[in-house]
Amino acid sequence: MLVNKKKMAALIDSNAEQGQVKGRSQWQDAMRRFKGNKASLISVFVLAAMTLFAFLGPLLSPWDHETIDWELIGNAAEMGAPQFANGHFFGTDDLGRDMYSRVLQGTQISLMVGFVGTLVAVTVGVLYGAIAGYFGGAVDNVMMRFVDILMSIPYMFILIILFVMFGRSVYILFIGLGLFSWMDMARIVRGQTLTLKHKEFIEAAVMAGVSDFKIIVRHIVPNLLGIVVVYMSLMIPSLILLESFISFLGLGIQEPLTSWGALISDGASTIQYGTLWQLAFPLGFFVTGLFCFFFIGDGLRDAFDPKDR
Amino acid sequence: MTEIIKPIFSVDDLRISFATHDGEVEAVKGVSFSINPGECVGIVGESGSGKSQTFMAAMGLLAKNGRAKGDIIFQGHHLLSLSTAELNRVRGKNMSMIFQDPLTSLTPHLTILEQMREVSSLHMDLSREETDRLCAQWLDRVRIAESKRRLNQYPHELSGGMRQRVMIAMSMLCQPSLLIADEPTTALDVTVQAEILDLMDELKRESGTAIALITHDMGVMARMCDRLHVMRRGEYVEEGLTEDIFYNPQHDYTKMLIDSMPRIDSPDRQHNKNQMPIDESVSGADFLKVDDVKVHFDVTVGGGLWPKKLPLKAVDGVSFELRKGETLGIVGESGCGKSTLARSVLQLIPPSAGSVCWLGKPLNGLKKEELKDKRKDLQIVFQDPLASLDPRMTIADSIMEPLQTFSSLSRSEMKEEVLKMMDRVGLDRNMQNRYPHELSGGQNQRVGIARAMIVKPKLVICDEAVSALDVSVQAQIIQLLMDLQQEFQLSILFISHDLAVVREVSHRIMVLYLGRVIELAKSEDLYANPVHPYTQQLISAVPVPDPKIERERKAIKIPGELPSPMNPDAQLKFLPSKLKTEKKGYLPKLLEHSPGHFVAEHDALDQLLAQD
Repeated sequence: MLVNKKKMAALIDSNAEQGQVKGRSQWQDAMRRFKGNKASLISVFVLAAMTLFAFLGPLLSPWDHETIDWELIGNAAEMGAPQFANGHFFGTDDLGRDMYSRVLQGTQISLMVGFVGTLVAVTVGVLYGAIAGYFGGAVDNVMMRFVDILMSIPYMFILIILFVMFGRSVYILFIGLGLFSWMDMARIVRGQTLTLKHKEFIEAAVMAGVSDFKIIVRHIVPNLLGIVVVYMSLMIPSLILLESFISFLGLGIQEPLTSWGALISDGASTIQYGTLWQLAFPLGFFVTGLFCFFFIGDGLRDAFDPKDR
Repeated sequence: MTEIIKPIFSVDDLRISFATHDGEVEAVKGVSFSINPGECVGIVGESGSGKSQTFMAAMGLLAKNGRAKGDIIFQGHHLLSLSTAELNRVRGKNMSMIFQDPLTSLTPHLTILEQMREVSSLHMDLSREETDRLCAQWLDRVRIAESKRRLNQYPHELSGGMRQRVMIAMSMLCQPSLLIADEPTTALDVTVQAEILDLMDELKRESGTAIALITHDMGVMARMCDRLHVMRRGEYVEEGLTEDIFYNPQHDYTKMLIDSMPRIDSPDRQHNKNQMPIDESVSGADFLKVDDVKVHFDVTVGGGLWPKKLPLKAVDGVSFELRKGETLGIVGESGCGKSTLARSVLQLIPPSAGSVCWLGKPLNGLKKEELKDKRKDLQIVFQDPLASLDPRMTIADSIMEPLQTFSSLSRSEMKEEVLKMMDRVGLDRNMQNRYPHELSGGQNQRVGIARAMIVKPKLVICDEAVSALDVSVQAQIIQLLMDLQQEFQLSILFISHDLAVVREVSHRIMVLYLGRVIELAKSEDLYANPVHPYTQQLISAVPVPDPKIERERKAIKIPGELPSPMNPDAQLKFLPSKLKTEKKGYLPKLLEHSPGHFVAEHDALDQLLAQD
């Protein structure tokens, strides 16, 4: 369908003159479009509820994530099924630990991995990409070739080596993920900056005597936010997936702490004994969480870039 | 006459509305009109008046959130009630459309021939050979040289004017009885525009095709149309024969449209009188002196391991001086280097050679910090009002930005300055927290001017500052610029492709051609007595909003396309006699024709017209 955007804008312009339209920024516009998207809005609520539940839920249970219920140990298949009577709402794992507490604890870790890793990636990536793109020339060349070199290193090996060298801990996981995930961001931001920096308002800022650093912070980065937010919402689930994969391999989070990936891995290995709940609960959380993230990402993309639909 | 002939296209009480977030927006509010065979009907109106939506609806190209009510009848088909399949049989064959931008309306990855074949295979039953012959014939008819070779080229290999001619050839391929032209020449240079308009006029007379011409340019209307409809905010405010509307306009809006159109043939428009007088005895050498400035870009030619790098001479040795309080108009067609020249004066693009002296001191070669101090006096207003403002900043913040670097005022004092400047440029104070996308083009351009003026500069460069605006708004902005000039003793470099506008504002005018000065003279001199054939050609091509004068005027056509600036002989287009005698790379010299009137070497116009 052929839509003449300029024409439409001019049309709305001329109509706007006839009646007062309330002032609003592009950001507010995008948020309103986002709110109009049912699937994403529901996802936001589900995700918020899940996060809240992950942190408050453990208070409801008599068990914590590491205490072993000695009555059930080794007997999970017969007696470890979910029930209210003994307080194991989601049942127990093979060692007799409470699945409810473990799933919630795993949710905490997985969400944290997603958010913290993304935060690191976005901060580093946006600044790095914006600087490379804005200055261009040799600076750009050196900075982006460095990214290319880093990208050509198989990150999985490095992660595994890190875990082996420094032991398995949450911090190593954060560092390892943060170390590699900013590069895509930097590339995307650089590309966007390249198109932005030839816009006339940047030239106007140069003529207004604004320093390079201020131009990046005040004019370039705010105009990148749309795409950054969208990419962020897709990056969180991909980091969660990555962490799950590492944990599934048996690396990553150190016992007794756990995560979605680790729980699914455990649950999958005992599925042959008929302990379905050990897989079903973490998997349910995992799938729901990822679905929500992807829906939100979709909604954000439509909200910030309505013309490409 | 009109009662006997049955109109081929008629619209009855058409209403178009769009569902937007701000509620239903009515773009077209009940218009009715008809077009007879072989007639050219013009729809004129400013941007946002809904003039093209009428025809978008007829072609079934309305945006998804649009709804059309009423009736559009074309050759007995009720277009609004047709299904897409039925509509496909009508549109393209009997009714076709040319759009404003010839680059975006051709598919980039198909050759011209493939695109034309597509049209003919849908609507005509011809063999491949016949089709190809027909296509070549049509390219000849729209006067594209070497049509056989052009057919196998891709759109990006053709110039803008040629692309538009290809579009016309494509839409004429099936001999439609109605051709809808939506701003067909707005994106083109004046000389090309003149050729395209002539071509359309010829097609109308030869094949009897009816034309619906949508444009904002009264000059084009005067030249082309038999009947006119003046549209404003979705309604026709006036309709009638072209002559009646031009010589005896009834509605205030029509009068305003005709009045605010700058005319190349009459310099004494009312607001022209307050052009600031300048002291011509003073030399501009100690104000702004641009000496033999060159800007060359390296262009990679060819592929392989070691591609050649050739310099693209965007600006190739331009010298001029500017006095305090003077306006120098810089005109030229697209690609002549006028914007590059402006940016190199401001050191936004450092010149490759030559010098720019500001108040007696050179600007080029300065360090960043030193340059920053000078920039307080040098400001620029850009062409696209929307693109020149940061979309995420309120307009008050945008205007305040230069103050933050150049003044030591407190924030509240700065705010006060901003509000004063907003008053000065005619912006309402309560708009200060608005964002650029919420304002109209004219308002945004006022913001751009306010931002440039807030540091009280001595020189402002207007880079096509009024070209993107509607004529009525254009007149207001020009007025504002001239008032500001008087108030602040401002010097202006006024860059534009529109010769009529430049004439209104400038004391002196410089004509650029492929990065070199072709003619430099006082404004009256240049228009009364243009010496260089290129200048004559440019002036003759500008349409005049007066049907009688316009139809008698004859555009000068110098044979040949605008050569590529990479072509070493390009500079000699107006001096072909030197092509044989001199060695390669000869550049025409700028000679003083009469005091203050400089003209580049050239051959006589007759000689040029007589070539091939």
